[in-house]
Amino acid sequence: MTTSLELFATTAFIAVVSAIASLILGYPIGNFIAGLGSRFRAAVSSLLILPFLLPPFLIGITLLPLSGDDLDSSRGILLIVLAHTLMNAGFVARVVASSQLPLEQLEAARLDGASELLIRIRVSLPQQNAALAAAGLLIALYSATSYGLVISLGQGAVATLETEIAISALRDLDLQRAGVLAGLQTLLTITLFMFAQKLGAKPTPIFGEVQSSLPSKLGFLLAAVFSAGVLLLITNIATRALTLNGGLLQNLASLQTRGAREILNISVVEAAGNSLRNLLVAALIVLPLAWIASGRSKSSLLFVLPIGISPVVLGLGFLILSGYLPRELAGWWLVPIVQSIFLFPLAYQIIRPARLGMSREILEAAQMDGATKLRVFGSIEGPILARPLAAAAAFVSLASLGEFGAASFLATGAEATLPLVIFRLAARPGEENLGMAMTAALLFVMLALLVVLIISRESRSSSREM
Amino acid sequence: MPAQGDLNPVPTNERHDMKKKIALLAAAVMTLAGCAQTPDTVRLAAHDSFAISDQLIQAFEAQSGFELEIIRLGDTGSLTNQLSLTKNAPIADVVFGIDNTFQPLAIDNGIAQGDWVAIDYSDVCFNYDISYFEQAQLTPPSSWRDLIDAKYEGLTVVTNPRLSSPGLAFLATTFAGFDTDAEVFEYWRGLRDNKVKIAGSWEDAYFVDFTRYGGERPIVLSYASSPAAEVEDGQAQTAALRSECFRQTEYAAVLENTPNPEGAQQFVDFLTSEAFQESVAEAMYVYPSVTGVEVPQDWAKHALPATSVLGEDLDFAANRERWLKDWSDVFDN
Repeated sequence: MTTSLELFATTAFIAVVSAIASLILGYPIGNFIAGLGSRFRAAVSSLLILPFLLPPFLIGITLLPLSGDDLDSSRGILLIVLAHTLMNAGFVARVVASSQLPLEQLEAARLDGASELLIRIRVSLPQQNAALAAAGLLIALYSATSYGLVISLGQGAVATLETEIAISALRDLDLQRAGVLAGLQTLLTITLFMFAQKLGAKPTPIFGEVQSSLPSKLGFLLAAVFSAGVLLLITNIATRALTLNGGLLQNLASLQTRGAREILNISVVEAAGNSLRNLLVAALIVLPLAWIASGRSKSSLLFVLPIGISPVVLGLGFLILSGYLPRELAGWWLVPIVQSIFLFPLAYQIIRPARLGMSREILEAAQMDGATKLRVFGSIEGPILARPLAAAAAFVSLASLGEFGAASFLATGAEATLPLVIFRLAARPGEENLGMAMTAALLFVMLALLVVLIISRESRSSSREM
Repeated sequence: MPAQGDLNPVPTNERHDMKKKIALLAAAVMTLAGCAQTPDTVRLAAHDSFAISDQLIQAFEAQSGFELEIIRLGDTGSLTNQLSLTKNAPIADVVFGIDNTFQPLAIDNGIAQGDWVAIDYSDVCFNYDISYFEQAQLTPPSSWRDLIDAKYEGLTVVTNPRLSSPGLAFLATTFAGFDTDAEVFEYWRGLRDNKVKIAGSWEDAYFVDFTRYGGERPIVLSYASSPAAEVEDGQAQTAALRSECFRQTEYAAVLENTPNPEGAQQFVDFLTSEAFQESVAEAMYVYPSVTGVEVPQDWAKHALPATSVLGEDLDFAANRERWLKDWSDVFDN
C-alpha cells in the first residue's frame, strides 16, 4: 500500500509541475496572442481557452487511447501532467495577454535597442508577477484536485490523495484512512496558497481583456502546437461521436437509453436532467453570495480559497455528514450545496473586477436619492453589469455541469449526474456505450464553446466601458 | 458556506434579507426532497447482474400497489459498501443480491432490518471458451489449480475480491483448498506471475475480457450455470470447471431506516414467490433457493451444478480482512 506521504508527494508533484509547465508554455503564447491583430486575437484565444472550460474527466476519457494497455505509474503521471498543460496553457495565455504593459512603454524599450526576450524578462515579467503567480496557483489547485482526469487517464496505475480517498472510503469502507488523507489534501491546498502568497499572488480577473502588445515570434510555434492539440482533441471527440455505433443520429437516440446491456440506472437524458436541476440550485446559491461578497471593499485570497478544496474531500465530508442528518435532509441536493462551495470563487473572480470598474458616483448618488440596494441593482448595476453577470452565470453553470468528484460520492443510483453516466459509459469498452459517451461529450464541447462566446463578449464589452 | 464569515460588514437589513432568502431556498429544497420520497415506490438496490422481466415487475406492482424502482450499484461489494455508507439515509428500501461472501460485512454494518432471506444459489467456478482452446490446440484446464501452469499464461481473468462476490468467493476457495496460508500465497503469486487479469466486476470480466465477447482472455471466473447462456444451435460454446467450486447463496433483506418497510417486505415476499423463483434460472442463470421450484429442462444438459464444493464452513466475518490483506500483498509487490 502506498504510504500517505508518497501520496502527498505525488499529488504535490503533479500540481506543481503542471502549473510550471502551463506557465512556461502559456507565457509566450499569451505574448503572441497580444501581438496579433484584433480579429485573430479573439479566435486564437477562444480556441485555446476551450480545454480550460471542459471538465477534467472529459479530457481524461478523450485522451484515454493514449494510455495504452500496460500503463505504469511514471508514464501515467507524465500523461496527466501533459493533459493538465493542454487544459491550462490557454488560460495562462489569456492571463498574460490581458496583463500586458502599455504598448508605448514596450516600444520605448525596443527603441532603446532591447531585444524581445530582454524586454519580456526585464520589463514585462516583473509587472506581471502577481497575475502569473495567481494563475499558477489556480492551475496547481486544479491539478491537485482533478480526480476525474486522474482515475480515467491514470487507469489505477497512478495513485494520488484523491484517488486513495475514494478507494479508502468507497471500496474499503475505511473512513479513518480517508479522513487522514483528506486532511493531507487540505494541507496541500493551504501550502500551495501560502507559497503563492509568498510569490506575490493577488486575486486577478479570470478572463481579463486581451491587450495589444509587440508582435511575438517566440510564441508563434507554441501557439500553433497548442491550437493543433486542441483541434485534435475536439475532432477526436467529434469523429467518434459521428462514426461509432451507426452515426450521430443513432447515438443521439441512444442517449435516451441506459446503454448497451443497460449498464446505467437512468438514461443519459435523465442524468442531464439531474445535472440541470443541480446547476440551477447551485447557481441560485452561488451568484447572490458572490454578488454580496464582491461588494466588499477589501479583496482577499481567502475568498478564492474554496477553489482549492478538493471536491472529493467535500464529497467525503458530506457523505459522512449525511449519515447523521435526518433522512429528509440527506438527499440529492447535497450535490449542489457542495458544488456551491468551490463554484463561489469562480463567480466572485468574474463579478468583482467588473463591479470595481463601475463608477462609484452613480451608485452613491442613487443611494443618496433613497434608492434601496435592490432598486440600485435592478435599475443600475444589473443592466450595466449584465454581461459580466451572464459570464459568471455561464461559467458557474458549466463548472457545475461538469463536476465529477463530489458527485461520485453523493449522487448514487437514480440521482446520477451527467459526468457520472458519461464516465461509466466510457469506462466500458463496446461501441454503443463509447459512442453514447462521445456524443454526450460533444454536446459538452458545444456548450463550452457557447460559454467561450459569452465570455469573450463580456471582455469586449467591458473594454468599451472602461 | 465560503462567504459567510465575511458577511459582517453588510448592513443589518441586508443580512436579514439574506437570511430570509436562505430560509426560503431551504424550504423549497426540502419540499422538493420530500416529494421525491413519497412511499408509493419501492426502491430496490441490486447488483449489476440482477434481472427481472417486465411481466414480473408488472405483477409485483399490480399486487402490491407500489411502483418498483431498480437501482443497480455495481458488483456485490460496491452494493454492500454503498448501502453501508448510506445506511442512515438509505438510497433504497430493499436489497437483493448480497451473498454469503459479503453478508457478514453487511451484517457488521447493520444495513438490514429483519431477516436475510435466501433467494437463489449458484456455484462459482471458472468457465472457458471451447473454440479458443480448439483453435489454439491447447488442452483446457481441468481445475482452478491448473491456472498457474505456464501454458495458460495471460489467459485468465478473475474479479477483484474487494468489489466482486465471485472474486471473494474464489479467494475463499483457495484458502479452503490448501492446508496452509503459505500455499495459498504461493498459488496467488503463481497466478500473478502467470499474468492473471483482475477485473473490477463480474460484468467487466465476462462481457469485456472474455474471448466470447471480444476480449482477450479465454478463461473467466464465473458460474457453473453460465454455459447455459452460451449455447448455440444446441452446442455448448463454453464449459465450466465444475470441481472444487464455491456455492454462493444470494439474499434479500429490508433495509434499515427505509421510509417504506411495508413495500420492502412485500418485495422480499415476492422474490420468494413461485412466479419469481421460476424465472431466476433463465433470467440470472442461478438456481432457485425455494425448494420444489422447477428449473428449465435444457439446464440438465448445460448448467449442471458443481461436482464438488469447497469452503462451506469458512468464517467470512472473521477472516475476510486477513484474506484481502494477503491478496493485496501479492499484487502490490
